Amino acid sequence: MTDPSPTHRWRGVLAVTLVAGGLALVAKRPALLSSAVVGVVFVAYARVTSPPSPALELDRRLDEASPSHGDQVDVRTTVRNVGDRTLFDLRIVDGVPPALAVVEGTPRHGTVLRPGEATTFSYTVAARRGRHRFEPATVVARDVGGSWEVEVQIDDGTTVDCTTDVPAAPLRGRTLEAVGRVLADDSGAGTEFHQTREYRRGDALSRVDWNRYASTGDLTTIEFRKEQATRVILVVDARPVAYRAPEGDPHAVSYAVAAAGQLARAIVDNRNHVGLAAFGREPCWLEPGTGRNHALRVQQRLADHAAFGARPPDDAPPVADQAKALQARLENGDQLLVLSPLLDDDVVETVRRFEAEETPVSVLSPDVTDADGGGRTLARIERDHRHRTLRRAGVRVVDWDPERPLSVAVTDAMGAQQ
Amino acid sequence: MLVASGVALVLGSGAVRTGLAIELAGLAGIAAGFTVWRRERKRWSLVLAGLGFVGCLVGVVAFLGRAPGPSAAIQSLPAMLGVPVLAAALVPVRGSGSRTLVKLGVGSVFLTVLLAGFFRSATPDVLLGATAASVVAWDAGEQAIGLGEQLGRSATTWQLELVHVGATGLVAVAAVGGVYATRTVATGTPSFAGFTATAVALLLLVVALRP
Repeated sequence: MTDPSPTHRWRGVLAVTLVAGGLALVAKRPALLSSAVVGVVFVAYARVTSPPSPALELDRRLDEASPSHGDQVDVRTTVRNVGDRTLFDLRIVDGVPPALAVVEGTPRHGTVLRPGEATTFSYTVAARRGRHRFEPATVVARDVGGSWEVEVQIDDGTTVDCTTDVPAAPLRGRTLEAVGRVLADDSGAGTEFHQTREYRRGDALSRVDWNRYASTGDLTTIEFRKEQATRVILVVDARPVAYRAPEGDPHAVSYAVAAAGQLARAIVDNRNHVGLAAFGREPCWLEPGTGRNHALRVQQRLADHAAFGARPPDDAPPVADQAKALQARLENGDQLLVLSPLLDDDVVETVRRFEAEETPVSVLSPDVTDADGGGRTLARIERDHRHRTLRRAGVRVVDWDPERPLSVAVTDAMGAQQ
Repeated sequence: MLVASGVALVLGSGAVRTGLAIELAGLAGIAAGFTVWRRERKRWSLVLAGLGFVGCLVGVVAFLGRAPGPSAAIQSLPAMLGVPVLAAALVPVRGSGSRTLVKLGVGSVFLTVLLAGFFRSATPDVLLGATAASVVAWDAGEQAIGLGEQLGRSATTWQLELVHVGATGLVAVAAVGGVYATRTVATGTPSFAGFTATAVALLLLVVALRP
């Protein structure tokens, strides 16, 4: 809650009262003096009212918390006065996620609330792909005369989840279709059947294929795959340049953040390790880990770390410095998955440098360039050029049109590569 | 705005009443024009608003032509002009209304109150009511514009506005009633010294109450 600030809206009445009183005194007009008395009463009224101290609770209900892309979601917001004083002048502006557009009704409401009373207003937003967290609602409370103003933020952490599960992340690896698994070089490890081979002296008896021996009389040994987890670092490009968007659409960072959350889940589901980093206003690093809980940690970090804020930063440190810091944290065999709209050459240069230092990099690039408009078309041509540059350097690039589900883009790209 | 117009109607002489009545009819025409505009019937809205504008002009001219004398004309002209200015302030021709126009409109109406008080052309009771009413009109207008800025046109705010204007109205009634009661109880005209002392005390009180 901010400190109460005076609105000074009764100042004009004060001035007019002084003029009327002064004129009455100079011209000796008792009638004007009584007019001035009325003015004094108003000024006193503004003076005696005390600033409000709102105690409010917010409850936001969505008729569909996991809508499909383009669905209309009804939002019902209820604000309750849990204090013990009447709030005479409440102006509520609900914190609609920046990426979602209100298509019907208005997320703004003004009302009076007695203690214990609640007010409800509703509006409709159009769902867009990604996870969208509602921002805190802003409430401006004034006293009855409007001479004091207090601003409060109230939140209940509502999220609209408009994502679909992604089967696998587009990664580079020794084995592309089965990421992170390499052949067993010693039998006995792993759980997944790989092949059978001729029995050799010293093989464990438990690995002999006795069924086959019974039917054919040949002694064979079963080999399993040994699983070796790959460490994948998701790197979200959240520099000011990445906050671009076609008119009225979410910017590339919001798509990248949503995609990173989905990919983290896919990576741990395939029993690999996932970490998180960012190129942005401030450093972000989450040590790689695995398991559903770690995927949730990644999603949490994506939701609340300052680097992924919904509004563009004014400034960010040079990407080369950030890349150097990231390089220092990498271990041998780690690979990067960079989520970037590829809107400038710096990020391309950075990716190529990682690749040159033998860190395999894949790039997922949400397309936020617009087909119409001269400048946009130029941006699109430049972006295509950057894709080619990266592919020539051996980087795997997945071009993602955010109008389509991420899973489709990834599956298509993996199919094309095989 | 209705309050301010009502005040002006009560305050004015015959000519002012006629002029203002025509002017209000004109304003109603303009308001109707804007309502139609918002329903996408552009041609009708222009016709209505144009008629309203002509009505306003006719009102002012009629008043000036029939005014009992130049003094009365000068005294009432600010109010005649102030009412349409106040109306223009609240009609969202551009953006969500204008605080400056509200100040200008109410200020003009109040200027007429001051002039009427100075030239003793209205009774003290009428002046009292007019002062209180113009403050209420200003308060309601300013509040409405503030709400328009913060919440937009489509938000529901009637409850809030009603309570706010109701409270200001109560204060106005209390102030007018208090002054009226005091004047009824007091007998005779005050001495010059007494009047001066009261006026100075009042001014000092205003300065002390300064927010």
